[in-house]
Amino acid sequence: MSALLDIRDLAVTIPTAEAEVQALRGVSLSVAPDEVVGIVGESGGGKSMIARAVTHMLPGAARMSGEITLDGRDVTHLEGPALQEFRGGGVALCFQSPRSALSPTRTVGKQMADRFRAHSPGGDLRARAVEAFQAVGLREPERQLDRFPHEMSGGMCQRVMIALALACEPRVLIADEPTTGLDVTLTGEILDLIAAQAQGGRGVMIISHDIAALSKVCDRLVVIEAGRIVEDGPTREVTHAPKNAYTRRLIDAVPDIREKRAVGTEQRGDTLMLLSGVGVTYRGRFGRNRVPALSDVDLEIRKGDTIAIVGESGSGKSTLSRTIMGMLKPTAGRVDFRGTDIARLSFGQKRGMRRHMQMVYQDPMDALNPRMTVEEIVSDPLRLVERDATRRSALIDRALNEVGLDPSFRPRFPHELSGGQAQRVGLARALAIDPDLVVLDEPTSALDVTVQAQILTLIRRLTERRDRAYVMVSHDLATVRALCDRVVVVDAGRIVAEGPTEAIFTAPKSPKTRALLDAAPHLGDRLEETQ
Amino acid sequence: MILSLPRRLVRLPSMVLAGLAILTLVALAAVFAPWLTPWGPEEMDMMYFLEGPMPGHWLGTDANGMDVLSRILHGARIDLGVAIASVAIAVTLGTLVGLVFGYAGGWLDHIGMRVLDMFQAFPVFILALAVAAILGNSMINLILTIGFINAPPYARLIRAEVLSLRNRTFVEAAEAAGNSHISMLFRHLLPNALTPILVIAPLNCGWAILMLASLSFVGLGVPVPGAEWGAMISAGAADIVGGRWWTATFPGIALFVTVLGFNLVGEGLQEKGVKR
Repeated sequence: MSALLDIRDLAVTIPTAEAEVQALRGVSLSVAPDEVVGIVGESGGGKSMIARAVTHMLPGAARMSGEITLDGRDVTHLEGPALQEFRGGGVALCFQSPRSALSPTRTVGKQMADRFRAHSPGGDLRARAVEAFQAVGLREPERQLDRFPHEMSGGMCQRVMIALALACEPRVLIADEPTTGLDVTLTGEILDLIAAQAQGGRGVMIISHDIAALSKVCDRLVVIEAGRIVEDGPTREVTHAPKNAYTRRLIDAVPDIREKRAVGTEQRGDTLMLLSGVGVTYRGRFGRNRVPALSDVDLEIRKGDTIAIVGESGSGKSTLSRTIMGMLKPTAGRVDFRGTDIARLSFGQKRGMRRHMQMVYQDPMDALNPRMTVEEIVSDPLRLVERDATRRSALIDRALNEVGLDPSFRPRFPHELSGGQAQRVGLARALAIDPDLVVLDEPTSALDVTVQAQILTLIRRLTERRDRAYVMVSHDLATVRALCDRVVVVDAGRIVAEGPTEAIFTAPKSPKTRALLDAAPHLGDRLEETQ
Repeated sequence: MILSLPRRLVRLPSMVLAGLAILTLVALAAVFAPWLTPWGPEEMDMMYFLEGPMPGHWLGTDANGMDVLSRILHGARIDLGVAIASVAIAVTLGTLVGLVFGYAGGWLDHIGMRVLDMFQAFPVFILALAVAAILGNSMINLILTIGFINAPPYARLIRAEVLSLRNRTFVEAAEAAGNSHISMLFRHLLPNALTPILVIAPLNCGWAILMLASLSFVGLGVPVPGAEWGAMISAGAADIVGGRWWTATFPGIALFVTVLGFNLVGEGLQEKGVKR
């Protein structure tokens, strides 16, 4: 098969103050017409550099060697009008965060028209924009034209982004992490849409860290580790018979939705927290537009429970977890914790409750005070209960040990930690005080896949002791099944399903639960298809 | 921490290092003034009035026969001292107020910020002039006046920092960890809000010196025989007409160089901040 886009021996070096960083080394890959190529690897691996090198958008100081050809024409060193023509009509790029890649001060319709004007003027631009929006599955395209990016959801922005990229009929469409920040159902839809563009001789390259999601839509997978290609082959071969150890690690890290919770107990402990009729209404500007984020929520959390709160983004699951933590005052109902309604407590009274409930956050880097050392961070909640510094120090060591961190980490600052280490510190902070209830807010979604697996193993080990209650907020059903005893499905601020995990998974009653189950990316169904 | 200081210093931009070098020289001159010249700052040499630079009086003498060089060296004590003391007051006061307003939010913040608006509505120099005129021009009053007047921008700066920090997860995490209000403010928010202060404070020191000099120039600063650069320029201004340029020019150069030093430090840090 003759290649459409051909990259030969690409190397990119970025000089920094300390040393030269080899972002890419000897990368050779090609995209054929009508082919969808997935480039997968972890953050820092250099996968985005490929997209940047192809579109001539490398950081200023970077040096590049190698050869890139499109349709047999050398496009490695283009300049001026030739480069402009190439960027639109040759290779088009969809960026990582669509909302920030779109101009915030122009309506999406105008941005679409700008693009047409630059590359293929003529005709009724508005009509063409409507047509383009329709093609990418935007509902009511006429109305969308006059909206600004901030008035659209992340998924809609990504669709606009794709429409913009397609506007000049590129030969190759490159999407760089197009689904970051989108929830499972949307991720599937957007990837399908991008992959569907590989027709009429057009090639598609999708860059992502999510091998499971890519395996659903790509013909071929290219695995990148530390700037090198470690594996390149048809999707099925790569996912089923990985030759490379790193590829195998990536695949093993994908949670298998069929994996069940190891220990299940019928008997539940004493009631720890009881939410009854809880509602939260956010007040809009000037008291108008009252939006109910939660309504009429009843939930019981018992000692030893591991409960998953599952829902799409915007479903109210974060509001629910913050209400449980007492960070948010509900506008209706009671939140009883150890016999006290924490919704009615003052700041000072809540402080007394904090020693019994702790939280672990989604983005571990942002959740740690950048000016504090690991030691200070972990000892922060401990200061509530332990005034004696030596005993506190012993407790810090114990907590670090519990999450698998060496005491030598104590003097480090957050920026000296990797994402996984930072999340371990976050867990240590929550566990140090020995709380009865730990709320985990998407504890792995900001981490690289292989690190995710490590953190999940750690969380599983902790929950299996059943000495406290864990509430885990997640959009990922696969991890939930392997980790939690009970599942609560939230949709539009209401609990639509609740019960033991297996009951929810094997016989989903509510349509929302079924939709979430269907959307969950996993390598499992790929296996079944081929057998 | 102390040991790592030299390495940290080397990483600073050359602008900051140049500024620090100038300020170190000025500070050394201030500290060792009595040993650097044989003349006291208010000591009169009856042999020479308004004489140009010459051996013994390297920068000449003024209308009272006082040695310009030793007055400049001693003036560094006053100018540097007042600048640093008043900026310290401004930073402390502004930081506290901004921190509390930003953290508390609500009506306290609203009312507080409007009061700050009122202060800032007056031209700074006019306000300083009025306060100095009412309170009298003792050294303490000058420091307090310049300090108070410079405080509102710091309050604004810190408040803005705190407002954006409040959206960060680690601040919520700190509250969830059970921190008291005091420890929220001083353990979690303050250390993370201080960076812009480091940039503004040196620039502000330069301003403070200029303000002191200006007040002295119009006669509301350091009382007449006192060795202060602004007062010296003011007194020397009349001599320039008669061709005796040295009485006003040399303190002017000292003032310029010191303010330059502060500005180099401030802008150098700012540039570093932007890059980061």
